[in-house]
Amino acid sequence: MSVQAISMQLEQVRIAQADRCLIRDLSLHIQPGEVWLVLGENGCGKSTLLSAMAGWHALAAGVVALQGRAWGDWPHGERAKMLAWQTQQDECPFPLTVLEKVLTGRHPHLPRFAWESAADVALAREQLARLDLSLLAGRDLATLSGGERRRVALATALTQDAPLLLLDEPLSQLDLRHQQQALQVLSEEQAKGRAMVMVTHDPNHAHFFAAEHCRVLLLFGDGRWLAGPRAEVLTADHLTALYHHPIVEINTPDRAWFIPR
Amino acid sequence: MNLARLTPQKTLLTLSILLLVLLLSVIISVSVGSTSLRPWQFWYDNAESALARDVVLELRLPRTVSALVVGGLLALAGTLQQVLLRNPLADPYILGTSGGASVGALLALLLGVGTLGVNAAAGTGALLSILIVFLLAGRDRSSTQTRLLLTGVALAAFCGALSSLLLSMAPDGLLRGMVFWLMGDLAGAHWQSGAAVLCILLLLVWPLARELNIMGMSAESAHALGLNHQRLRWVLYFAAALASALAVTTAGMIGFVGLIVPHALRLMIGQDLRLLLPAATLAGGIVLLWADIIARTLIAPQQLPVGVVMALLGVPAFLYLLSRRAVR
Amino acid sequence: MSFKLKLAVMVVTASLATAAVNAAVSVQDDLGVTVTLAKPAARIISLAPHATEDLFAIGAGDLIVGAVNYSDYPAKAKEIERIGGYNGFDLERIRALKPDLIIAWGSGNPQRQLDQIKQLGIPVFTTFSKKMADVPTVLERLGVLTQQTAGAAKAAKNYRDQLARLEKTYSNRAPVRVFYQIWDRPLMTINNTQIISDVMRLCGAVNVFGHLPELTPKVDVEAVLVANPDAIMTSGEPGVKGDVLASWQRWKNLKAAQNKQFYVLPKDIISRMGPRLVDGAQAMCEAVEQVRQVK
Repeated sequence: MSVQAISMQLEQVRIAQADRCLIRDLSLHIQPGEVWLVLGENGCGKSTLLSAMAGWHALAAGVVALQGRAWGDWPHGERAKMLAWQTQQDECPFPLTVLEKVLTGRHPHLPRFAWESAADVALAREQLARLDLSLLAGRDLATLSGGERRRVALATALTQDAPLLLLDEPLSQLDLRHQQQALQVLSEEQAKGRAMVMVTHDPNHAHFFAAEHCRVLLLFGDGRWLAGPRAEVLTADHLTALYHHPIVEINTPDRAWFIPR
Repeated sequence: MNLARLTPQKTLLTLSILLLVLLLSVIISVSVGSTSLRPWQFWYDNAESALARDVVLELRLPRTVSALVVGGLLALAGTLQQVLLRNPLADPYILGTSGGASVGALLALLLGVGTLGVNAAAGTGALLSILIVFLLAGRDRSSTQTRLLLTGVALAAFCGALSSLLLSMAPDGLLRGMVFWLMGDLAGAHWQSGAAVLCILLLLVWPLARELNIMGMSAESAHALGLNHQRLRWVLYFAAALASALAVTTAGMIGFVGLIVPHALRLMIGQDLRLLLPAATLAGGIVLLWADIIARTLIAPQQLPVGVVMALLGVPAFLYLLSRRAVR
Repeated sequence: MSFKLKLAVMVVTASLATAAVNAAVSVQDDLGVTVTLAKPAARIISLAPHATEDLFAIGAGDLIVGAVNYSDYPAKAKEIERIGGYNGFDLERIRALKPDLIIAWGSGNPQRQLDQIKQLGIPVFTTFSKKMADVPTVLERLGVLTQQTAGAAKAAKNYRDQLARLEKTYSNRAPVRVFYQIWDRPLMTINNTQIISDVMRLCGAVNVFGHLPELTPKVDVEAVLVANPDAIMTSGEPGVKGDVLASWQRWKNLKAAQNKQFYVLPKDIISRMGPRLVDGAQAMCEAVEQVRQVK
């Protein structure tokens, strides 16, 4: 499966929540196959930034463009083929099975009167299998645990098959094995050329992705930000400043680990 | 393995079964009534068969169609309202549409205008309340539609107070007709415009069913999957409001169909609106038809108000479903 | 006798009577409750239009100090102070008028308010006529309470004479089957215990739904078509043509529709159980007689 090469530009973007300015003058260029990790304290604007990149939260200033075309000018249906957005909340008030939920990811690709084809179902089941969810396909979403629901949401985003993924804490609530599994899946997707922006609370997740494609964005919550290649941005000093807590770097033979002191 | 996924085959099968039940119900409905006349008495050529023709074709059949149309409108409105408010227990009357209709109708009854005037006034009242809610709650991006819900509920409460005021000012002779209107009545209802609107609304919203499935999940998901959320929610709101306005205008206030039918059906056939929308419309018609059959035959020739029968049957059924849901 | 002279005579009679017997009076009302007044009533409040008519008919009209809305007959009744509607009245105003007798309406006034009046210690006489013959007895008992026995006797005699004449003329004629519609939406009629059914009996008519258990049953059109009455009657404002009954004309197999036998009887006289009920009966008997002719 080939992935369309797309890029997203943020120019002088300002993100505000009510009167509070969270991010000031943010300019980024997200290239095909890049993984961007977004780190920051609670309430620093990570989710709001993702929401703004998805075109939901209104920008206080600046421009978000895809393929050089302002986001607001994209038709709704086309936008969903380009970008998948996994939010933190995904509670459905109605009874819905796991497979039905994952199949909603095919919606942007289906003509109005078409039903999900066998190929669509196969794609959905493939994503479920990759995230160890096959046995849950017929279960009601409401009966799942929090971690299982996060994985279903990720499977849905993958089924949407968009070249750019916005993932809001896809790994929170996942146990260790499933975290590793999900990271493996994400790095496979990155290898296919999919671009990703991923909010996380664990800086060590960065090391799952090839260094030349991995970028990091630190949000300080007061408008300031720091963005760049992993090696430049992800340092113990920066993280200590970011979290207002001493962070140390510990080197093992194959990689470096950041842990709080 | 392929447990609950909806397929076109399953949709067709379910709708066919419902259509069959509907047909049977219609046959029973035109065959029973407060008198012992039956459709097969048509074929003789005497006074008795002329009477049978009058009773079956002119009285029972229009009443049967009215029940189907009103029940269908209410169940459709309820289904849409539940998706709009992302609340499986929302009711088509919750956003004040019927409250506006009641105030209009009661005012017309108090002024002593005829049946058509009452219908026109109910329709006007409903449209006014729709517009007021639309203007006051125009921009609401919260996922539970809080502002829309609160505006509607507040307007409904205001209309309820106005209705009570009108009832308290009414002389005894008119009071009877006013209270009766509030209880719902299918006798002599004009079903034509309701039927037309029901068909138009179904043709409008059924093709949107897959979109509405996603609308029911969360506002952000809807946006992420490429829906025009603002536009769709107003399509939903106006379709639900129009359906409940037409239902109330046609037959007065009949509660619980719009709440119970979609909810019960959802527990049986799932939430997929590609099936649920048409199925709820058919089932709403069937349920109201049976309530009406009971209302007009139980102590015949005396009549019970159909809205009361509906509530007496519907509330226990609803409470039962609710308690089962709590267990699950 | 001119009105002034009549009034003068009445005043003289009244004062003479007061001088003679200013003693306690006592009667039973229509609910079987004994109403006793230490002295004849002088300040009366009427809680029903028919009660107002009763009092005027026996010559006690000027004792009324308050009346409910629609107390519009005779014309002089319109000048009486209003105390609310018959289904809800102003207790404060009633108390302020210091009445010594209240005439209530058994099937019209709210029981809760009547109980409150009784708690204020004001005597209540409840009227509830179920037969045409009950009406003159009310006149006579009100005559006792107001010491207008002569006027009451006269009014009762007038009523009974007219009633007897109607009974003799019509009650044994060929029966006519009538559907009496008291409301169109919901479609409502009356059973045999309602006083209008007694008027029908008097006129030689039969109420097609007389057997139903409820006083005012709701029925459906289907039941009316099958009952197939000779005529459909209702009450309405005098002069209004059969608009409320127009919807019946579409039923070509209905005898009443085939012969166009729809009658709107004058509302006030047929539906008030007062002294003019016998005039209402006259109107109904004439209508029934017309039906009988075309039948």
